[in-house]
Amino acid sequence: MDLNGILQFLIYALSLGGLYALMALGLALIYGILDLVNFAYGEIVMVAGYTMYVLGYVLFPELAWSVVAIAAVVIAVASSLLLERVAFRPVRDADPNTMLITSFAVSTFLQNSAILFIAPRPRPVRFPVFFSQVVRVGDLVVSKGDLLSLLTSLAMLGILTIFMRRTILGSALRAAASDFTMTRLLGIRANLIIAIAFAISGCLAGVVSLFWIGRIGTVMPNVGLTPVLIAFVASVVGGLGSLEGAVIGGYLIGFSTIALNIVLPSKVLHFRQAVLFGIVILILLFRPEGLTHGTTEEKL
Amino acid sequence: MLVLDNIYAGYDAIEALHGVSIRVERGEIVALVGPNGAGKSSTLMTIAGVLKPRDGTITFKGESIVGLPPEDIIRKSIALVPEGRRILSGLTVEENLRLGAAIHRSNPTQVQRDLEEMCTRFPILGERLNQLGVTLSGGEQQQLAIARALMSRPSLLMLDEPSLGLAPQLVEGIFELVRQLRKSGVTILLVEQNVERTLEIADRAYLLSKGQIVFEGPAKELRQRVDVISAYLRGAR
Repeated sequence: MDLNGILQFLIYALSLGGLYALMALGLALIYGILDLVNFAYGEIVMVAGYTMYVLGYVLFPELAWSVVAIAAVVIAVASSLLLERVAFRPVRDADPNTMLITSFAVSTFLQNSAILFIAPRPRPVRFPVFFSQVVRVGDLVVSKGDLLSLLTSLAMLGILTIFMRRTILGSALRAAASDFTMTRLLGIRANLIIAIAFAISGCLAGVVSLFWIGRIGTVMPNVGLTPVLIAFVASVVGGLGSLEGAVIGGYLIGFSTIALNIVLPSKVLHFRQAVLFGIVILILLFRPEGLTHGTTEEKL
Repeated sequence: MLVLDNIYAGYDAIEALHGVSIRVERGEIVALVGPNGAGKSSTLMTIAGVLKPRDGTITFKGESIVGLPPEDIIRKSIALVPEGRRILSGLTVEENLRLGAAIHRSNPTQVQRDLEEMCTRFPILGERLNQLGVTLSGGEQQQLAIARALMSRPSLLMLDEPSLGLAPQLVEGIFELVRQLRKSGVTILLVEQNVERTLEIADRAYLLSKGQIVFEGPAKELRQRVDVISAYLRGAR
């Protein structure tokens, strides 16, 4: 493979991997602190997507995409916070299975609401022309959409890292993911930490929605299913409960997906998912705690 | 200063404390000893707000604190050094210490001063500020856990088995530290399995067994009650 091919591969892989890393991180944050796999996370992606549809396609087609995008992320954050307040806080002290079932229930509820109140069929989402425009550097051809996805995911990861490592609240969040009770014993308010975690998770879901739906071009009630599944698998591979693990897992799955695209002969390309999951199974067979020794071996 | 009156508390179906009453006066070192499973940790966890009592009252400096969550208890200047230290993984020594002062984060100069003071008092911690807390040795982690609790400037410090798992010479250091802390004006409630050394430094002692107080009085007195000690603390040194 020549240099050009490698660079092309890297850009695609980093672009998809970055997206998957953000997906996984949003899920891992909630799991790390609350021990809750928030299956309604996919629906936050869906809600952001429908926001883009309603706002940018139905109501204000002339509105600049950047405004629609920001609105989608804001709605995602608000939805995530609302979700926590209404659905999860009342059952916070209950059995972990109760929380899990609650997240399924919310997921089902939101999907069906979308079917009822908007449409069961896919709806188009307007994306800026520049997403499909290409940038040429020598022999390299990259879509601006992919480039933006790559840069945005790196930027978000960078901002989050700075927040987590250089602010007290960020340390508190990491501490809560490590030992929530001890963090409360130090006086950090549980509600504050959980709200921040859900807000960040919502923000990540919103950004994911921008680029994920950008790849599909349409939004439908179950659009959140694949992202949450990928997020979950990436978190498990990287080490459930570990934030770094989620990011590593995300990039790994992204890289593997692109690699399989290139490597698999075209006849078996539609088995790509199967091969991918096969790899995941292999990794977990030899390293069930995930690649970075996630904090929760038993809980799996 | 601290008064527990007839506390009943437990975990789900299992009741750990059956009518526990304890008193800690300002400036004292009070020991809470007893065999495994007696309810010593449960007592501290109840005071700290992690465990909610089913019945009974807890007052601190005249104010009722029963039922308050842990976030409020530490703001009443009661700090807990929990069993097993519970150093926050993924965080450096410095981050652990700074989180210990989280309730004072609106006063960064004071926090900085306290951090420096901890480094003077515990030189090992000063050397390892940028190391991950969990990479410290057992004895160093215990120092970190205590220093972290002290960062909140407590008037009552509760320690849950600080000598557990430590080599004998380190155990000495812990007890010496407890003595010094009392000298600096901190009231101490000490839970320990190492009965001998604990009773040497404590003023008063409570012996807990199966969730009930079976002895209370001056530590000196309990030390002499070999009958009581051997009955309840068989095998404990």
